[in-house]
Amino acid sequence: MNYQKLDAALATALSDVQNSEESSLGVFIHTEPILNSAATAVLESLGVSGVTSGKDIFTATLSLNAISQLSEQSWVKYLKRSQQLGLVNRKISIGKLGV
Amino acid sequence: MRHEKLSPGLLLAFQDYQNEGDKALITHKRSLGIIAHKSPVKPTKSVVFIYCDPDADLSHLSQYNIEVNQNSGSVRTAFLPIESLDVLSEEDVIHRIKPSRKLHLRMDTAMGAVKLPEFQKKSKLTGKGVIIGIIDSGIDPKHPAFAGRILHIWDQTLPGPGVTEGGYGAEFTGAQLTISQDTAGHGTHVAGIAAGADTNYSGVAPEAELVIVRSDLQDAHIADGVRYIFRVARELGRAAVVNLSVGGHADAHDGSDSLSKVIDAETGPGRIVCCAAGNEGNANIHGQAIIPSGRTRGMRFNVPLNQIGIVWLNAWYSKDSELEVSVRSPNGFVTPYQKIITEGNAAQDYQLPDARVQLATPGPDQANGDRNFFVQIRGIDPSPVMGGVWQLRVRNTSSTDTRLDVWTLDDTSSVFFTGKSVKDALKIGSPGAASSAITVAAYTTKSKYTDIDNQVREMGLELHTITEFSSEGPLRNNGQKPDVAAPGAMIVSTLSADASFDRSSMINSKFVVMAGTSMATPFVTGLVALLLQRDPKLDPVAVKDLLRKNSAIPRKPAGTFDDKWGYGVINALNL
Repeated sequence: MNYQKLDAALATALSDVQNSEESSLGVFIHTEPILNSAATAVLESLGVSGVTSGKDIFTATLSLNAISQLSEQSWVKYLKRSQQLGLVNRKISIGKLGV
Repeated sequence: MRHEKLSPGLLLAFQDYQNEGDKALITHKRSLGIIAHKSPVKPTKSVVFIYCDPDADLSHLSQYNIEVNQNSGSVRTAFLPIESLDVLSEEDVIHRIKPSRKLHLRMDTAMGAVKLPEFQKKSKLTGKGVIIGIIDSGIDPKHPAFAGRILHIWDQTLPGPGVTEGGYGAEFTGAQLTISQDTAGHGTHVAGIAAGADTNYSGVAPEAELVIVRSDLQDAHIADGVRYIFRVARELGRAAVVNLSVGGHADAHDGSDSLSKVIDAETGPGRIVCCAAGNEGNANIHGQAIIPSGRTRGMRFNVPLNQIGIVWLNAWYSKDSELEVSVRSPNGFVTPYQKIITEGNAAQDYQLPDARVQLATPGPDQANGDRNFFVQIRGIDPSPVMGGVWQLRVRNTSSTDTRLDVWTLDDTSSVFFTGKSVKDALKIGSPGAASSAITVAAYTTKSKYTDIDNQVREMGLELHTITEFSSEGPLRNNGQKPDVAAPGAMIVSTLSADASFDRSSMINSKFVVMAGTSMATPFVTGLVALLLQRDPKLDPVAVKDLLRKNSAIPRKPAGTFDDKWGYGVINALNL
């Protein structure tokens, strides 16, 4: 594992992984802009979508072992953990004026 | 004539009619229910409310061409020639006559407050031909406000083969759309503001077509959703605007996070993304400290009792400095100071008597070059995190002073900074921080409404100003956010039949009232759809420029930026 390529949130999450083979971690994979066929093959083998479309940011849900494998690839710049966002409606408490 | 029985406005109209005839009624038409017949030989009529004895027999009034619509009741409606008001007022059983008033068709007061009806009328723009993408909690595909205009739903939460952008979830079109549901109701409300079609509560772009992503709200999946919508629009040869009424604070608050980068990469001519600023204007989720070289500082934060399963702190500072990090529990136990770790796993565990703490202090962040550390606190199983005042302790071991910005994250949004660390700024996170996104603050256009049970509800919001809960900018790198403000409280829009709402927020069985920058954002999304209908090649820079030039902060010079207002509330009149 090349830990230098992991962001703080992903490094934290790795410590909680129970099964290193289970795909449980949502990540963003940041790569070099142009990937060779070997690189695309690695990404496709991990179930990454849209590999051949010239992008340099990919998403995937990966196991700890897959993250370790990817972090060692020279064409992978860094990996960031996917974060849970929330809906931004206001939780309102209702007052009443009467009719 | 019993003048005292007529309401003042109706009496005035009647007197003008007596003096000057039909032409005098022109100025009274809209407010007094006066209907001029197309044929000049037929009389001008008025629709009125009659307040009378409940069992009064008014059938004989038909001889004066007065059509009373009900046979009983103390309040009835009637249609009558203006001159028959004289006869009507003479009836002893009738106590009061009031005009029926012409009401406006509107989503609520929001539309008129920003001159949208005038713009729509002048421009004839409806969003036709433009795709509005909504990535949210889903949509109620059966709601009549969207009939025939939902093209695709990618439901990321259902099992299925996925789509090109992600091998998960299920895609629906046509008759299968109804398989997907919106059980939260948020996405349906948002979609209705942007694109609902209804005689009373129409959205901003009622002829736009919809591509919906029901998301689990993982930001990686939201990124997939953005790509999906723009790909579908591209295949259809349409311009598209994507609405993201979502947010979080686990990022750097400078637009360098992965979702923001995907948004920046995917937007361009005819491809726009609108994001919510967030609702943390009143919440102390952000702390800030200046830490001089060689000194130590503490930042206190409060954890409520017995509520929180896990607490995170997300902290950022300049690459030119180095900080060591420690945590103190409410009982006074502390972790050791942890240095930046550049070899091996930067995340280290510490077992305190009253908590399990994990500190991650990696080298510079690869995306922006700044330094980030993460703190994770758990209780001792099976207890939640201990309630009370905790302290984040930081020691500056470098030769330069530094500013540290920290955001609290927890599963119930109830962990807050306290004391001197509280900083009411920098509360717009991803994806609102994305450089190319149009980031929207909330403005209050309505503070009272009448619910489905005819109860008047009042919210403690000041009218016609920025909504106090709307999150403040700027970004951590001083980037200007939010961009503009739009109506976000209180907004009436479409109700999902699959969601459960308190009756006090329901207007009727099809519409519900909500508030938030979630509601302000689709207002701008709908507006952008209108602009894209007019010019399908508009890019984010051009759209922002147009919106900023047509926004203003009250009593401030045009072009003024404010951390809470952005460039001010939108005025659609001259867009």
